[in-house]
Amino acid sequence: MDGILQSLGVIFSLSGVAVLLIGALLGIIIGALPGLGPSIGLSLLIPFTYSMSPELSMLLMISLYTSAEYGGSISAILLSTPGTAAAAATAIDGYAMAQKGRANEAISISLTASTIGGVLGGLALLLLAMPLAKLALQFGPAGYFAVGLFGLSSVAALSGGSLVKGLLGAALGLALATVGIDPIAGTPRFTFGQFELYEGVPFLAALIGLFAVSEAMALAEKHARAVPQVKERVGHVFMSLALWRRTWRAMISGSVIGTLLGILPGLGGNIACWVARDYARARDPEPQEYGHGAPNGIAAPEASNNATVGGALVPLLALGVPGSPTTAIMMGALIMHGLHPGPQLFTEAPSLVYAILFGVIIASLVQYLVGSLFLPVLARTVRLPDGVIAAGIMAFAILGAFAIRNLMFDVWMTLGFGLLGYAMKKLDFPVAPVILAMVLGYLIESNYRTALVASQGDYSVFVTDPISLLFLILSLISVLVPVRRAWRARRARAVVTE
Amino acid sequence: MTAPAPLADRNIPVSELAAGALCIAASGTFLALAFALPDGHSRGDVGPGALPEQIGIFGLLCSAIYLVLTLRGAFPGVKGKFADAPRALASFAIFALGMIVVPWLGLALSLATAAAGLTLLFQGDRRWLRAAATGITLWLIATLLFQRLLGLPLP
Repeated sequence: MDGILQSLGVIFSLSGVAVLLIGALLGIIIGALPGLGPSIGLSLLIPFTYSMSPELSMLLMISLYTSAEYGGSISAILLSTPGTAAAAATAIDGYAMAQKGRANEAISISLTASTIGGVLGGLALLLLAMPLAKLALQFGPAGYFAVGLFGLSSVAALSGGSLVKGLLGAALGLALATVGIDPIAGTPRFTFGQFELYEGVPFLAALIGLFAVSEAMALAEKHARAVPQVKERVGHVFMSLALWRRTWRAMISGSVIGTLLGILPGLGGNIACWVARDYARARDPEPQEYGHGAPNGIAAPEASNNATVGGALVPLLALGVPGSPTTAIMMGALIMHGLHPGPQLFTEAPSLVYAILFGVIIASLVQYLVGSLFLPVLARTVRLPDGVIAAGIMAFAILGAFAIRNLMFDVWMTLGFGLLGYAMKKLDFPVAPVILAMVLGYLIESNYRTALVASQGDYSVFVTDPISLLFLILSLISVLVPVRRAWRARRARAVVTE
Repeated sequence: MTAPAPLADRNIPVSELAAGALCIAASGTFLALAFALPDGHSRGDVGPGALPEQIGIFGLLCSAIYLVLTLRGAFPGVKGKFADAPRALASFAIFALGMIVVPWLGLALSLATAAAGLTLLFQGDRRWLRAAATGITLWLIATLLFQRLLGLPLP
C-alpha cells in the first residue's frame, strides 16, 4: 500500500506532471516525424534522465513511448507517410479521409482510439504483471536462462526479414555482451587493454549509434525530398456521438489484440496494427469502405498500437525480459540507475513498479490532453526539413553519448555503431536482436553458469527443470516456425513455376 | 527439394557476399579469442570462455548458412540500393571530422559546425540561412542546456 501511495505521490507531484507533459509533447513530435519512432526518441532522451529519480525517468520514457505511438498517425493521416511503422495501417484509411476533407475527423478518431488502447493496455499490465512476477519468483537459474533465450530467439525470428540475419544479429549482440569483466570469475574478456571496456561495451553508446546515428545517415540520403505541404488545417479533436457509436467496438477489439501481441516477444505495434485492422474489417457491416476512408480502419490499428505499450511492459516487469527494442532501452535505463527489472523489483522498489503500472494509464490520458490542446501546432512539425532533423539527431546523439561517462571514447563508439547500424539497414539486417542480445547477455550468461555450478557441471539441468524445458521448446518452436513457413513458400513457388 | 537455378542466372549481390565473408571472418576471430580465455576455477563452472566459444560456433554456423543462401540467390539485390550511400557516408564523415577537431574547437562549436555542414548537403531554398540557424541553435542547446543546465563538462 505504501508503494502505491508513494508512486501516486510522485506521479501527481509538480515534477511528475511536468515530465508526463514534456514526454507527451516530445513523443507526439518524434512520432509524427517520418522515420523517427519511440526507439530513437527514447535513445536520445536517456541522457536527460541521468540526474532524475528512477520513477521520474520511467514516467518520462513511458509518456514519450505512448505518445510516439499516437504521433505516428498524424503524418500517416496528413501526408500518407506513417511516422512510425506501427501507423502504417492507419495511413490507408486516414489519408483517404484526409483527401475527402475529413482530416480533423480522422485525427480525432486516432487520438481517441490511441488513448483508449493505451488505457486498456495499461489496465492489462496492472492486472497481469504482479501475478506473473509471483510465478517468476519460483524460476531457478536454468529457468531464467531459458526464458532469456526464448526472448532472444523469438525476437531474432520475428523481427522481420530473414531468419538467418536475425540470428546473426543476436549472435553479434551476445558477443558484444561478453566484452568486459566476466560475471562469475571476474576475468577481463576482449578488452584489448582498454580500461574503458572493462565495464563492457557501453550499452547506451551502442543503442544511440544503432538507432539514432544510423537513422540520421539514412535521412541524409533523401536530398531531393521536397518539404511536405499540408493542405488541410486541423483544429479540434473531439469525436461526435455518432462516430463514437460506430467505432467503439473496433477500439476495444484493437486494444485486446494489441495487448496480447505486445506481450509476445518480437511482436509489437508493427504487426498488431495490421491484425487489428483485418479483424475489424472482417466484423464490419461495411467492409467495402476499407481503403476509402473507413473510420474503423483508423480506430482499430491505432487502439492496437498503443495497447502494445502496456503489453510489452508485462514481460519486462514480471520476468525482466524485454520483448522489444523500446522496452530493452527502458531496461537499459533502469540498469543505469542500478536496478534490475524482474520479479525482485516488486519488493526492492515497489514505488517504481507502481509508478510504471499507473504511469501507462496516466500517460495515455496526458497524451489525450496534450494531443487535443496542441494539435494545430504539432501537425506543423511534419514540415521540418530532413536536413535539420538529421543534423539535430546527430548532434543530440553525440551529446548523449558524451554524457554517458563524460568520455570521448563513448562518442567514437557511438559513431562506430552508427556506421554498423547503417550497414545493417542497407543489408536488411534487423537491429532489434542486437540490442535485445546486449541487454539479455548478462542474464543469459550469469544464469547459464550459475545453473551449471549448482548442478556441478551437469547439462541435463536444462531439460530436467520443467520451466527451462518449456522455454527451450518454445525457443526451438520460435526458430522452426519461420523456417517451415519459408520452406512451404518455396515449395509453393516451385509448384507454380512447374 | 527443388533444384536451385544455374549459377549464371542467379542474382547474387556483391554486398551480401562481402557481408557473409565478413561475418565468417568476425565469427572465426571471435572464436579464436574465446579459445584463448582461461578455464573456470570453481567446480562445475564452465569458465569465462564457454559462452563466447558457443557464440562463436553459432556465429560461424549462421554465417555459413548466410553465405550459402546468398550463393543460392536467396537475397536478390535491388538496383540502386547503394546509390545514395555516398551522401550518407559524407554526413558521417562531416561529424567524424567534427569530433577530430574537438581538442581545438571544443565539443559545442565542433558539433554546431558539423550540423551546419550537414544541412548544406540538402537541397532547398535559403540553404546558407538554414545552415547558420541550425548551427547556432545547436550551439545554444549544447552550451545552455547540456553544459549550464545539466552540468555536462563539455570538452
